[in-house]
Amino acid sequence: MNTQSTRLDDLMLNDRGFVFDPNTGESYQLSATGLQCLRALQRGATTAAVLAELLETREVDALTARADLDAFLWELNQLGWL
Amino acid sequence: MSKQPYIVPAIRRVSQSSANPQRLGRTPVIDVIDGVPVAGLLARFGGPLFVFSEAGLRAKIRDAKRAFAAVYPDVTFAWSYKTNYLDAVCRVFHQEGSMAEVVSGFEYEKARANGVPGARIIFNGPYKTTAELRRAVDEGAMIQVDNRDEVVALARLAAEMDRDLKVGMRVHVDTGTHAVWSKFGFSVEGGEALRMIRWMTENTRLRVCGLHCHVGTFMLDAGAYATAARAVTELALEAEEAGCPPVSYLNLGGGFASRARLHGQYLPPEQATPSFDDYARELSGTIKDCWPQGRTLPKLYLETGRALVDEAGYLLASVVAVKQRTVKDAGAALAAYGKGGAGGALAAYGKGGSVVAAVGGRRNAVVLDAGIQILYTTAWYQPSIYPAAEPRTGVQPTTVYGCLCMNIDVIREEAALPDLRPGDAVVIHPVGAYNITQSMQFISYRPAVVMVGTDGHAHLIRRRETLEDVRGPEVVPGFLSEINGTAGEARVDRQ
Amino acid sequence: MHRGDNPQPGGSIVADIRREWPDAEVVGLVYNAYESAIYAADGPQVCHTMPYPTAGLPIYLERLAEVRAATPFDWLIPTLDAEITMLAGATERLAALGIQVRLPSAGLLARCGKAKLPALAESCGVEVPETAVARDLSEAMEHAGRMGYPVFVKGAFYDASLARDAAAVAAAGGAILADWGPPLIIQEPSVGTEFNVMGIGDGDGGLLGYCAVRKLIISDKGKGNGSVVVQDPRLDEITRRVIAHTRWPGPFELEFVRDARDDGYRLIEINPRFPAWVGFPALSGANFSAAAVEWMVSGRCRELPLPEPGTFFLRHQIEVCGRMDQISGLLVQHVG
Repeated sequence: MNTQSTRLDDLMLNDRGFVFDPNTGESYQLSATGLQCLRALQRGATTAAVLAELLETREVDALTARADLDAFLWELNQLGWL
Repeated sequence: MSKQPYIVPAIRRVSQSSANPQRLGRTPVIDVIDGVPVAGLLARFGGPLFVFSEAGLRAKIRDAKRAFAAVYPDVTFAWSYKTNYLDAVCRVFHQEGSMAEVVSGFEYEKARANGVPGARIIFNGPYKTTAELRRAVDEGAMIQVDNRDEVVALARLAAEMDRDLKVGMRVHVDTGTHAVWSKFGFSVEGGEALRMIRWMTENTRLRVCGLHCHVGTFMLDAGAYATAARAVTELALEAEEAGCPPVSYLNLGGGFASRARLHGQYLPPEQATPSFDDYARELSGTIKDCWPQGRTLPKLYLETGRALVDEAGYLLASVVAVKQRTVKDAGAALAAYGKGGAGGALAAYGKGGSVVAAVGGRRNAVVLDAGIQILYTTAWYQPSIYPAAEPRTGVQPTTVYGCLCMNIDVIREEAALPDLRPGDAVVIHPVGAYNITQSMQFISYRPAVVMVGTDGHAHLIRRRETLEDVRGPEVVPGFLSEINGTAGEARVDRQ
Repeated sequence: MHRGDNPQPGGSIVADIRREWPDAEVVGLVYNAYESAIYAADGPQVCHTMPYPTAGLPIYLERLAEVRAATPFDWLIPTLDAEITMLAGATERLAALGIQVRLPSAGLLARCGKAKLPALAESCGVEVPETAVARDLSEAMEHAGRMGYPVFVKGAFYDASLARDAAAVAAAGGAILADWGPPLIIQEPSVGTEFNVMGIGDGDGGLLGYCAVRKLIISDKGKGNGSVVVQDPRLDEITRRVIAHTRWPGPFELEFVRDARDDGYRLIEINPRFPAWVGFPALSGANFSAAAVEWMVSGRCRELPLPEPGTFFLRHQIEVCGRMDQISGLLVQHVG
């Protein structure tokens, strides 16, 4: 049994962007890009890789995406998921 | 591969109270006004930008006239200048046959400058100077006398001119359901109004030929007009019985509600706002009931403002910044939502739940390039805010801040809006009543105003203010003519 | 669809319809994914979230059309006051969407509103507590001062609280104004016992069935958590008079207080819908929800035997079980 699982792996996440955190019992809704980023993080992607994916798939400039992504990661960090 | 539109990576806690993505409904998009694209208007005239619809103005006054003509023989509308005295707006109403209703010497001059003859002006208000009264008398305006001092001033004029003067008298009535506007006119219930009519008849050359009663503003209960109409009709008959000249007209003022939404108003406007037919039925039915059979009904004047102009006015603004606001907890968000008029539904349908509210939440917020200095009516009403382009996401409760560096500058505490980005345009509506006349030059320039004509074109009807508009009236005293050895560009008083 | 604390009638109505017609397809319209009957075994087969009525009729109708496209249904049974008020004037617009309703007219609903109730009651010859309408707090305090404390402070749609002094009127009135907006209703409290009558009017002045109860257990929020069936010819007669005078169509609930001072009934409210305890008479053979469906569809309905006086109900809460993915299903965002 893997007792080293990170909080990120424990999250119950569905395709609609609905997240249930079994540890706290809280539920969350992600935006489409939020879901995209969280999935990438669950796959083990680095911040740079997540950013690259955003820039590749979405109409956005690098600085805006970086500013928004850092704010998003900070929020996930606040939730104890990173 | 074509890229998808960008939306901000975001996460929101789902609370029991927000567990319904449909709760705010969907906010429709307004991307054209009378066929003219919003984006084009902003590109051509800059923003923020007030837009008036000529077709909207004409449709309203025609609907109001139709409703009253259907039930009452002789009705005349007078355009309430204070509600919106942009010349172009006034002229639409004058073209549609409306008189002018003014409440100051300034408004009187504006109406005259619009080519309205004195005899087509109703002169209201608690403050009219003797000079203004003299001009109004000379030009044959319909003066509605407000107080005893004005009676005395007019009586002196009549004596001086050695002629009878016809006047209307403003009265106030307790409708039972709304606060009495006792600031204006004479009390009907207390007998003050009847006593004054008799006093004027017996002691002066003023002849009261009309009674004026404005019950209040934004009257969602059309029944209040029945109460007021009964009171003034009965007063007219009592005065005549007491030997005073017959009253030939009743002026029931304004106060018809537009489809705006008050703060805390539970029912949406399309259900809460009475139609012109509703108001017409109450007024006409009551006057006909009370008036003696077989006698010609008194002429009816109406000074409807808000209900005619509010929905024809839009404010186009743009998002300049996007924020996330921390709200204390779900409960606080609900309370704030209630202020928006819809929280009540939560109280009714959501209160019962006992799901534990845990960590604090976030709420979207946007800053616009327009603020409450040009949206004074947001103190009482919550305008709808529409995206001007197809949304990228569903709607979320969003706080809409104005551009002022003032904490009170909040246009909507909670509007249902999709995720917006800087540069996205929004359309604020209805804003046609009072916002132009009450807007102040504060912190930034007042915006341009355009009218989208029935010709399908946008016409500039007021240009954006410039620095010269603001500094023009200013004079700098001589001792301040130089700062740090520079004169700058000031109009210096050299005396 | 909520049947926990402060329950709503929807869940009971669905359960009773399904008890009568096990194959009936029932679509639940909910305002919140946490409404308990969504997850009940005898709840609707499928549920959809709805905009609040305050979002306005056009948005509400648009969503109904969308729901109907996803899950077809023929008849709509609104069970909350705000829905009924909104939809009463929209029968034709609903019909255009293929949705049938049978509701009291907007005019009748307006006459039954709290502010207008005294006039209606007078025309029926029914007594009501002294009632005054206030547009703001100062008027509310003026009315309260005239009536003498305590008074009830009520919103035009929901909420009521007892105020014992001017400060309490201001506090309660302020909260109601914030939630519901003006006007405020100031009402003299009738001191006595509470009686409720639920029934179905035939729309021509007749009564298709009714059940009169006296409240036994009142929660700290003033909700009846237990009531007993009573039979008082006076109460029956008043009920028949109100229904005959209003020619009431369909479900209703009349709320009375039997005033201790003179033993007379005072009409407190007319609700244009069934109460949350609608499921109670069904337990002894009078399925009002099924009868209302029959009336809605055909104008006639089964016989509704008067429940035996002395039969009582107690509100009995149980747990229902759901999964977070069911919640998430209701939270799907339809992006424009």
